[in-house]
Parts: sequence; C-alpha cells; structure tokens
Amino acid sequence: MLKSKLWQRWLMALLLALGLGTLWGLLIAISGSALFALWPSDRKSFQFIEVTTNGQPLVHTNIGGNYLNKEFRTLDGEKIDPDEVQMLSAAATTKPSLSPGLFTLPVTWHQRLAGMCDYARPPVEWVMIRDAELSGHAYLAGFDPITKLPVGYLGHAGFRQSKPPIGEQFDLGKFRLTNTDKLRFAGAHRVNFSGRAYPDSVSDFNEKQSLSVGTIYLADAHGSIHEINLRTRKVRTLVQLSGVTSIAITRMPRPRTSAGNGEDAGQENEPINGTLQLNLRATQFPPLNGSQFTLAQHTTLFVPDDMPEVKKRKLVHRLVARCVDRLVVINPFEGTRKIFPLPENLRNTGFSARIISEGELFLEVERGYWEQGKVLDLMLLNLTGEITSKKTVRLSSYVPDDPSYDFT
Amino acid sequence: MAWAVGFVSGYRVLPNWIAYPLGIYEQSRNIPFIASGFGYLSTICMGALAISLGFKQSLWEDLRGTYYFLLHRPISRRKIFATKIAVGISAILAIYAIAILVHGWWGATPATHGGPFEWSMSLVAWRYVLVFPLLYLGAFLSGLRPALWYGTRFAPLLAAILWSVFIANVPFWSVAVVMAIVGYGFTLAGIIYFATERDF
Amino acid sequence: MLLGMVRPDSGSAELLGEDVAELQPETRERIAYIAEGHPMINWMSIGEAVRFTRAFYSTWNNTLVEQILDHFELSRKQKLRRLSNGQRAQVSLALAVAPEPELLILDDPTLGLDTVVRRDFLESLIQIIHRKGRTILFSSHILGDVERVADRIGIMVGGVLRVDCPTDQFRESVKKLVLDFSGPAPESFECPGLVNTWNQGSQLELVLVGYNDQQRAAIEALEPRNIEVIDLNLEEAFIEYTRGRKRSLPLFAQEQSHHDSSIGDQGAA
Repeated sequence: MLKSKLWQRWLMALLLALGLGTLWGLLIAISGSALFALWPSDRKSFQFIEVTTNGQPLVHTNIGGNYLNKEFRTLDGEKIDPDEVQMLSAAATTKPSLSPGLFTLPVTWHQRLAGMCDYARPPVEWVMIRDAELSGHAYLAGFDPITKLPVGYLGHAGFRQSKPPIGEQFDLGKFRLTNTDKLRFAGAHRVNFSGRAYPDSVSDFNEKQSLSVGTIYLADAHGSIHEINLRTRKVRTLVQLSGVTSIAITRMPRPRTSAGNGEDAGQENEPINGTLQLNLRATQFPPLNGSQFTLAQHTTLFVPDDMPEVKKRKLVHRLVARCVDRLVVINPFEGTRKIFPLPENLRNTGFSARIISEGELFLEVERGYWEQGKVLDLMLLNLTGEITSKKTVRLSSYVPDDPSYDFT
Repeated sequence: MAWAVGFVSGYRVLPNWIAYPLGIYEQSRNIPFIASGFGYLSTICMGALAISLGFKQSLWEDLRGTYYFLLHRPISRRKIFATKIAVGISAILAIYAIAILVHGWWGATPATHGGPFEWSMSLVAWRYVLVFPLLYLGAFLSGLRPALWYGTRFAPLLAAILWSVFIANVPFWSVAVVMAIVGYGFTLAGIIYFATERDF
Repeated sequence: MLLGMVRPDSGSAELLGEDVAELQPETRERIAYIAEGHPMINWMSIGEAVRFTRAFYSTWNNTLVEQILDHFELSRKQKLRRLSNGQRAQVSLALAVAPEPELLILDDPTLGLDTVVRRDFLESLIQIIHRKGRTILFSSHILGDVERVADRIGIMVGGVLRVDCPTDQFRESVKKLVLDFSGPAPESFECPGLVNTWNQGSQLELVLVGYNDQQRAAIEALEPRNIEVIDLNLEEAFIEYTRGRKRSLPLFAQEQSHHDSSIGDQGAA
C-alpha cells in the first residue's frame, strides 16, 4: 500500500490530468480532422475574385477541392468561359505595422535567412543573412553549388569579396526574413525563407511575377527600394519613398498608343510577357557534369499558356509599392511612377490591388473570413484618390444552390 | 584540401544510417541546424532514445525482475535511482552533444554544404538539451509508477511530451529553462516518491 | 518483504535486530539475498557482474568468488544472458556469499534447476554454512532440499507463521496414527493437537502434532484393536500438517523468544 502525503497526491493528480488531457486532446484532434476529411466534399468550394484585363471582376469557384474543377461567373451570376478571358495578377499589400507591444520576441535564426537563386549558368545560390539585432541589417552571400564555396557578397553598395561592413548592409529595421514579412521582397523568384534556394527546381520560378530573371527588389526600413541583380551582381536604389509597408510585382495591360490605332504602347526595353521565355531560352541550363542539376530538361515548362495570341492583351510588369497613405505604381524600366492616394478608410488596412489601367486600380479588401466564406469589398480607385465604384460581395465555401451572389 | 577536410569530417565516408540523422548527406540543400534534416531527425531519434532508455531503466527492470538484484544492496533506494537517472541523462546528453558537434563541425567545414554557417545556429538544437531529459524522466516515471492499465500508466510520459513541446517552442530561453526546471521537478518528485514508497 | 521491497500491510519483522521496513545500508551489508529466478543484469559478463556487485560492499572475498566460479567451471568472460538456469544460480551464489554476509536469504533458489545441479548447489550451500558461522534463510517448495539443508524450519500457512522450530523437532512432532477397530471406526475424534482424521471403515487415521501421553490416553479410550504410530519424513509431515485444520497446534521451539538474536551456524527454511 502506497503511503502518500497530500502534496504527492496533488502532484500525481496534476501529472495524470496533464497526460490524460494530452491523450484526449490528441484523440479529439485526430478523429476531428479525420471526420472533416471524410465529410462529403462535392459541395465544398473555394471562391475568390479574379479580374480580367478589361477590368471586369469574376467569381472564380473551385469545387470539391479540385483546382481543375473550376468555373467563372460575373458578379451577376452569368457563367463565363475561362478560355475567353485573360486575368490580371494581384499585388498584395499590407497595412502599416502596429507599434511594438510590451515585449519583442528575439530574432531567431529562422528569421535571419532567406535563400534565392540567380539562375545563371552555372547557378549561384544567394542567401540573405540578417543579424540578430531587433533593428537589423542584412547582406547577401553567394555560394557556388558545385564547389560549395562562397563566391562573394552583396550589400547596397554592390558586390564584394568579403562580408560587407554594417554601413553597406541593407537596413531592414525591425523586419525579419519570414513569410509574414515577405512583402518587403519582390522578384523573379520565390524567396525561400529560413532556407536556401532551389536552383534545380523550376517549380519555384514564378514566371508571372518576374521582371527579369535573377532580379529581386527589396524595400528597406528607410523606404529605399533596392533592385538587386543577382546575375550581374549589381545593386541600385530604384526609388526612395516614405512609409513603404510592402512591395509587389504585378502586371497590367500594356497601355494603348495615343494614336488610338489599337497598338500597345511601350518602350523597346520594357519586357512583356513572352520575353521572359525568350530570355530563358537564351540561357538554358545544360546538365552540369552529370550532377543533379537538370534545368535544361525543364525549360519547356516556361512556354506560356495556350491562349490564342490574338485574344491576348500584352501585359507589362509594374512594381507596386504600398505606402501608408498611397500606392505607387513604378515602371522599373523607365523609372516613371503613378501615385494613387489612399482614402482615409483604407490607410490602416491591407488589401490587394490590380492595375486596370495607368489611371485606375481595382482594390479588393477582405472584411471577414470564416469557415463558411468571406466578405469582400471591391472598389475602383483613381489617381485623385477617389473611390469611383464599390461593391461588397459575399463568397461562400460551399457551392451555392443559386449562383447569384449576394451583393450590396 | 577541401576534400581532405570533407573526408576528415566524415560526411563522405559515414554510412547513410549514421549520416542521415546527423543531417550530413551530400544531396542535402540544407543550412546546418536551421533548414537541415538534423532538427527533425535528431528530435525523432533522441526522443525515441530518451523514452526507450527511461522505460529500459524502470519498466524493463520491473519486468525482468532485476530490481531484486539491485534494491537489496547496501545503498539507499534514493541513491540507486539517483544514480540510474544521472547515468541515463548523462548518456542522452552526451550522445546528443556529440551529434550536435559532429553536425556543427560538418557545417563549419568549408566546401561541405555550400551555405552560411555560424555556431550560434546550433542554439536551435541546444534547446533540446532541455527537452530530452524531460522525456526520459517522463518515461522513467511511467515505467516506475504502478497503474491498473497502460492507458493511465503512460499519462506521465504524455504530460512530459506536451510540456516538452512548450519548452521547445517558447521563444525565450529563460522561460524555457524555468519550464524545464518545473518539468524536472514534477517528474523527479514523482520518481522519488514511487522509488521509495512502492512495492517491488 | 524481509528486505523492505514490499511493505507490510500490518505487523512487523526484524532482521539482525532491525525493523525490515527501515533496514539501514550497514545492516543490508550483512545480509545477502538471492531472488527467485536469479535475476541479474543480463548484458554483463560474469566478471562485470562481479565488479559491479563488489562496488556496493566494503567487505569482499574475491578468493571465495574465484573458488566458487572455478568449482562450477564458470569463466568470467561468459555473458550472463548465455548462462543456463543452473549456472545463473551458481553465479548468484558466488555474488551472494562474496561480501561475507551473516545472513543469507535464498528465495526458492533451486526452482527450475535439474536434479544434478540442484544437488550440487545444495552441497555448496552446506559447505558455505559449515565454512563459517552463517545463517541461511532458505525458502523452497522442494522439501527434500529443505530437509537436506535446514536445521530449523518455519512454515507459514495462510500468511501466518505456524511452525518455527528445528527441522528434526517438526518431523518428530508430526505423527500419523492408524487405529484398527473390530467394528466400524468412530465417526469423530477430538483431542488437543489433532490435525486431521480419516475414517476408513474399520480404520481411523489420525495426524497429530506433539504426540504425547495425553493424546495417547484419549486414543486408547476409543479402545482400538491396534495402534500403529508412523514416523513421517519432512515432506510427508509438511503435507499432513499444512492440509490439516488451521487450528493445528502451532509448533514453536522453546528458545523462540530469543533465537533471532542468537542465530548460530545453521540453515533455516
């Protein structure tokens, strides 16, 4: 017979309760997720808004978790053939960050590294390395994936053979190299936070967001947007803005010529979609001495989609910088910019923006999200900061019986 | 030279079943400790080792009857169990420290992985120095504590696993250390109680 | 329980003058214990087990260990897990006697051993008893072994110590009597010390403890035609005694009150 004191009985009771609570918690979580997975999914859907190059918003519905099983409808519920429309890409923007709370979490190594690649021949892997300070600086270190030795370093002053001094490093302020702060980066390729790039994986290559291969843009804590060309190893300050909260690359329809002949305007040096593919063809990656790099085998994946050329609007890339009180659309090739002042009610919220034309943006503000759906405010913003049109749409997570959406 | 260092560091000569848990394998695109297989694999391997050792030193002895070989010796039960626990925890920490040092040595050797490395990256791994002894103690207590059925017998281990998850993920080292000490205190108090009071 | 591994629900026991629930390490050093099944740490070799065990004791007779291992032809390099039951018993014995204990407690040490090994083991025990004044507390279900080794026995029935006396005294105290009657034997018979009766028609078999004149007079009063008194060996005596009524006469030696503090050169079971 065990003799026990009161505190010993309490101690064991606490341990047992914690252990059994864990067991039950696990059982409930596992059985719950299993039940959820087994739920009949025919009517499960995922809906979001897409905008055509003509500025028409469409509701895109994926049914049953199958991304191939999709349909497009206008906001009035009219079904649209997806092959007949061309979509704009959205630039996500973040609201100004809140002032620091009572305490700040330390900067971990997972928040100090971001991998990227120049996709040169042979490729060089670059890793942005941030220091551990709460207000930190970062530099890029390049590594040859074959010899696995460093090839050099990049700071805002350009290429160096040694680690840049703190004065030449990018001032990131409180921003950390994480997915939550990823909107400080924009570029040809996905930035792989807390890890290295994947030069042998073309799946990371986001062709739609690319301006030119091997180039990334970084907004530092002072509002400088740096253009870092990993291939040429050159760094330049593209623009200096105040209060930048995020940057993104998006595409807009190429402006028509003023002659009104229907031809797209634009400079010779301004890449349009398709140019990227040509660039890639010129820089195919042959197998490297039989090693694991097989990029050449994948270049065919870069061929643009099958949409007939005649129906396509030419799209050009723009860099969208979200500032506290405005959106700035930058043409990085000509250095020109368009400024869209934000109305007061949008200055403290995050939203996504699409460039309908040089003078008009389509904004999408999410007001609520829950398991059954979400509420979106859709609006058009002009260069004077005026909302010229606004609609609220309620999207469902289930395919509605009557696909006429609930608009206000 | 780099090849020589590579050979010395062992990553090219170690068999995969050793190299893989240490996060040392040529095909890896990893950053030592941060984005390598080391964290995941060492947690699995060392966690399994800690739990197995805890049960081996408690439940296994019960099942094999070896307590009868040990507990009548001219030494107090408290000392016997303290020695067992000290040996168990030392073994776990020594093995884990060797794994960290080998992985760090590999990371610090030029031309081995083609990524950045600083020894401070290993802090992520050193955090688990607080975790594995708790898993061991939880398993030891589960093995030592008599219970009517195994569902409740494993409760202390489950509690230790849950607490370990918190210790591993709490952002501040100081908080993690305090949490670990609380965890050790609870499990050790339970072990001392059952070691001295239960029938063998 | 004697070594404090199991706590008593009630009652108390003393070993070498100390309460078994509170045995101090100094007292434990004077006591050796061989558990049933000879549990040992199997991954060790015999040599490692010797070194491991030796570390617990201030006194250690290594010569004796060597002698016992040599006698049983055991190599120090042999792994414990590869030993037979008999060999494990032999190693256990060597490890138990090496600290020169005053009291050796053996819990069914010959269980599972074949006859030859068992005999060899018991002879070694007898030698150890004779070698130096030691008390061996030997529990066994094989009474032939007990008879061979024990000077004194204790018998527990239903958790109660009913017998604690020299082995010979117990054996001589338990008698079987066969009474022949010219007619049917009486249905019942009662007298002090009666353990059991069997009515076999014209015969009445009695098992008595402490056969004496008073019992003889009570039996003769039944006027049997013949009285046959049968001596029993230890096993028979044990069987007859333990399957009898629980009110069987307890058997305790005269020196019971002080024997535990004056244990001499003897084995007990």
